[in-house]
Amino acid sequence: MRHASDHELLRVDNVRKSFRTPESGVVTPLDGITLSIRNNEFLTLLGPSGCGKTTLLKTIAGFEDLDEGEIYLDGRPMSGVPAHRRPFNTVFQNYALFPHMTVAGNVGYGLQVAGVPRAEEATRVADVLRLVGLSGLERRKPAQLSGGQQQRVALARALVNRPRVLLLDESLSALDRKLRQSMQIELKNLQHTVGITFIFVTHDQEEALTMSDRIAVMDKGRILQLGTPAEIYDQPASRFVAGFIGTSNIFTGTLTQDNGAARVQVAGGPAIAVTAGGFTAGEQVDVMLRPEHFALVPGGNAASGSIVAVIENIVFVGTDLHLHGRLGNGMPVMALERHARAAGGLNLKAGQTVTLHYQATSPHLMKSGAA
Amino acid sequence: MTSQRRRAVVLLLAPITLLLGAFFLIPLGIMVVYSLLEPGLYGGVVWSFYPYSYGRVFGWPLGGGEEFEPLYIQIILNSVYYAVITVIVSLIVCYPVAFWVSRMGPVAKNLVLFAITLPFFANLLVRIYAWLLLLRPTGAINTALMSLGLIDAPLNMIFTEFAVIVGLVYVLIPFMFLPIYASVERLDWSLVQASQDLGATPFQTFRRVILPLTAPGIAGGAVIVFIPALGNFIVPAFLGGSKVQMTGNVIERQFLQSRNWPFGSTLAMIVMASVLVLILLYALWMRRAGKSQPVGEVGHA
Ligand SMILES: Nc1ncnc2c1ncn2[C@@H]1O[C@H](COP(=O)(O)OP(=O)(O)OP(=O)(O)O)[C@@H](O)[C@H]1O
Ligand SMILES: [Mg+2]
Repeated sequence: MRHASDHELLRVDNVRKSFRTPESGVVTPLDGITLSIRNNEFLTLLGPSGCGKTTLLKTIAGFEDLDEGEIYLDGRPMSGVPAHRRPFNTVFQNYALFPHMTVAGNVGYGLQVAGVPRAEEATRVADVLRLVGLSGLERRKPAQLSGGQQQRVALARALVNRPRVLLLDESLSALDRKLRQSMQIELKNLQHTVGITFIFVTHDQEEALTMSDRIAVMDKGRILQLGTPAEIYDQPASRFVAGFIGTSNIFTGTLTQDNGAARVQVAGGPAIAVTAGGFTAGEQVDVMLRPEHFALVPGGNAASGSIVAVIENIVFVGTDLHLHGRLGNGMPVMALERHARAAGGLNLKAGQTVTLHYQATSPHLMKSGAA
Repeated sequence: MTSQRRRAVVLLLAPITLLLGAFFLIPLGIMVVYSLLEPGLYGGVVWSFYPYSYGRVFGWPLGGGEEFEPLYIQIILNSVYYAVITVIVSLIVCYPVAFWVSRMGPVAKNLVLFAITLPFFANLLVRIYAWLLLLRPTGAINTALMSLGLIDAPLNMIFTEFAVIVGLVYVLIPFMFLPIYASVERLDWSLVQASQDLGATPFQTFRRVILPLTAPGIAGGAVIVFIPALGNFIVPAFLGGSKVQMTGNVIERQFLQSRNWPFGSTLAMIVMASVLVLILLYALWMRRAGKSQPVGEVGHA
């Protein structure tokens, strides 16, 4: 079993890329990206549509020239190396399957151009098609496949070459839940057994959290935060990052300190007891509380370390109840309650007033107004 | 389609079908019939079955002035040769240019496309006559080359094979360019990237991805250049002089000078039959290429 090592495999160094567009002039999907990717790591790029994820993958693969900066593989600059000589394979967002070739032809293409003997090609193609669950469709043309099947062909076509780095652009998005989970497991297995390094783009935060060694959250051509899934989830650098992963309650207020007790005074709202590491009194801050940080008690009993809310809506999602409520000043708040506990005597109803308790260590402070 | 809708479609299409039928099939039928009738002494036809026009080309002549003449087959083969060269030359010119144009900005692109269709606005005879002026010994090309000191004596270009091929290529090149350009424009560039990504060299990418995906344009262009090139008589008449003969010229002479309509029809039928055979072969080849991978059943594995 291999694990992401500390050895740096790929280095994206202050990369900048702009495009001229017909309507507005210039877009800058890569605005000074620096990223160090370790050998055998599973790195996920997460960000809103149009933030530059695909463009970053394309520059790494060698399809876009850089305006500025450099990409290094094992310390070797890649700018003079054409795409076909880079030991990377891409699973394109639009699949880009060759329409005039069969499934087997598509998957075997990389091996054929590399001059791999026919017999070996046949076994490797058969193996990888079995892996993605497409055995028996070898002779189909791409147009005769469903979207999910096409996506798996694209995946197989890249995997079969056993590249150093596999660039995946939303490559599981067209699969149903069950298939997607089994492909996620297969990819993680490959990461460990074959030792492929993955750079993975997804819009599915659950996928990002479960698959990744590290996550890079991007916006407008910049990396806002790079860290392990737990770091991103527990200590987001900004309101934007927090909003991108998981559900959160974020309040803006002024940090106050009195007698060592730090609070965030929300304008027209509650004061939230916090631990003020790294921030100074008087500063404008965003404070984040995850729904699962709250312990719910019926009745409105505001005290330090709690807020009072009125339940507006209860959504049953299986193991949990999602409680949507409002604070006294009308701000929305969301809390989580185990279904088992709620059913066992809490008897929650819409319109009920409840107190939400939290640990003073739970609220996470972020610079207000930070990107 | 319901039977009612089908009836509506038939009704709607009937007039245009009849019109096309009248304008295409009737003249064709006349040609077929005429090619098997006896030529009248002073033009026109005599209404009796007369297979000897074909005999003059293939070897069962009636005799008595109507002899077997291998020259006709020779001329047909020559015409095929000129047509093939025309196809090849225009292909070599158009294919790379199509890629170049397809990567231009929208304004430049439209300008080029307009420039390519521009010659259609001028009369064909005028345009070919212009080539006569360019190619003749005292023409622009020779004058320019001589004044540059590149040649001492004028090059003999007019009334040669070369002149005919230049003329044919010039007249027909738009018909090659447009279908090729359409297929190049439709080419999905991300497939080229995918090929590179999988490690294919530029040449491998060209041979295995770009060429197969633009082949329909090449084939289409080849067919619609080949056919008019084969039957062309204006270009050889102007630029080929008496040295370069194509079937078109011979057919034209049979109709307008010798006034042997049956023999002219015969030659035309032979040319048409050979074109049809070629197109048939092409269609079969395309079907085989399309079918080489069986369709298979659609469903889940
Ligand atoms: N060739 C191009 N010419 C002009 N603009 C481009 C080009 N390619 C990308 N862009 C622009 O760059 C920005 C980033 O595009 P990119 O494809 O990297 O986004 P993305 O993060 O992959 O988005 P998505 O999640 O929707 O796939 C977008 O605003 C896009 O319009
Ligand atoms: Mg994208």
